[in-house]
Amino acid sequence: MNTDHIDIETLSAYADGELKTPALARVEQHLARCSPCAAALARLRAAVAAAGALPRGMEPPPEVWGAIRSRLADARAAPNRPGRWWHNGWLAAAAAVILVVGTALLVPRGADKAKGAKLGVPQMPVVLASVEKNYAPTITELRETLNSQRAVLSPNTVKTLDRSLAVIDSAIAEASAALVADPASAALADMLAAYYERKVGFLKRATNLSSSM
Amino acid sequence: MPGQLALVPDGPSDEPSDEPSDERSLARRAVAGDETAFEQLYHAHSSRVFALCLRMSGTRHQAAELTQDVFVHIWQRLGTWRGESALSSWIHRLTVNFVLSSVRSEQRRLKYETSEIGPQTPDADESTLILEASVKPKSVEDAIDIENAIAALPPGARTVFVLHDVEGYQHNEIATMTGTAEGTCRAQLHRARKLLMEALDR
Repeated sequence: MNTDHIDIETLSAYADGELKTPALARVEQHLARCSPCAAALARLRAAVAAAGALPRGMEPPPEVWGAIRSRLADARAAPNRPGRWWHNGWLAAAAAVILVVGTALLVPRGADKAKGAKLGVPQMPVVLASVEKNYAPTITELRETLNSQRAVLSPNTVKTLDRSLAVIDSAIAEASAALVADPASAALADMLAAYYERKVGFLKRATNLSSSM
Repeated sequence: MPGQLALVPDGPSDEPSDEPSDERSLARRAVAGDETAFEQLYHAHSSRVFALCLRMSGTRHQAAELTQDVFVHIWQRLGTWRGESALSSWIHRLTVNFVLSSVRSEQRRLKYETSEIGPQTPDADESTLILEASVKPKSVEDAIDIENAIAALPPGARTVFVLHDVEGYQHNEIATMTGTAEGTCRAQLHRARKLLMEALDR
């Protein structure tokens, strides 16, 4: 009885054609005389083929569109609520950090970088301003709701929420700073929007958590 | 003979745009702010987006939230789609990037989680039976088994498995998207398959 079987990870690499001689020869020789390993390889191939044949689509819950529509309405209403978020100290502070970091990155550090640049004139990329503008009203609203519900949460939970928000904010600040440095980057714009989305999602979950207590 | 696992990519590579003119028109109207047009695009693409979010996140609850986030993101970014690739490919790529960004953000957050709320692992009830009864693949039982085994994979292994074996991306594409080395992706895939086989054999 052969107890020295080939592990699944090696079989997986073999199935993908990644093994080179002498490992390839060793595995092929083993498979030729070890039916359990040959059967394991067949099962692996069948499982991978089945994964590749899984249905491409699954219907989302019906309430998802309603939630999206509501958020689109919030985004559309944003221009009608100018300035609200600047009254929120927390968001103003976050914006200040972004502007300071962005400004620092925009100030040319050497003669080469100064070529063609408008010296000392900080400019927030349009996409950055647009992303912030889209999310600010929703975030402010959720933040206000959460603030009003803080009393029902335990101090530890509040601390955890604040810490988690600080982590998301630090990611937003990093992505914003990177976008200031590279305003044409669609990937950075996507990443920044994704971080804002996470923040909105997190605040929604937090407000749901506190309102259910 | 090694015999490559033959999978046909469905979506990851940028297909040439042969978009139906009505979909182009819907996209143009949505960019102009027409919500009805966007709703039609949502209904045309939401099942694909939701399936991807579900497999990458592992739970229906997270997938529903991610689907919301993705479509709000699509609404904001639709104006950047230039029609060079099919809209379905553009949405697919945007969804993958969005979910990966979200996962990275979530991982950063979890590092700071205290024991009170605890790590956001999939709920037992949610991570099992994620496939709806309305889905009718060739073998429903096999598909449910595989879906559940995928949902139970650790996040890193699940991401690579879904992108490679389900969605058909190549390792170099996954490495670029996830910001990891190609060798790491390969190792993650083989580990994922090993865990998947162990789960299926139980």
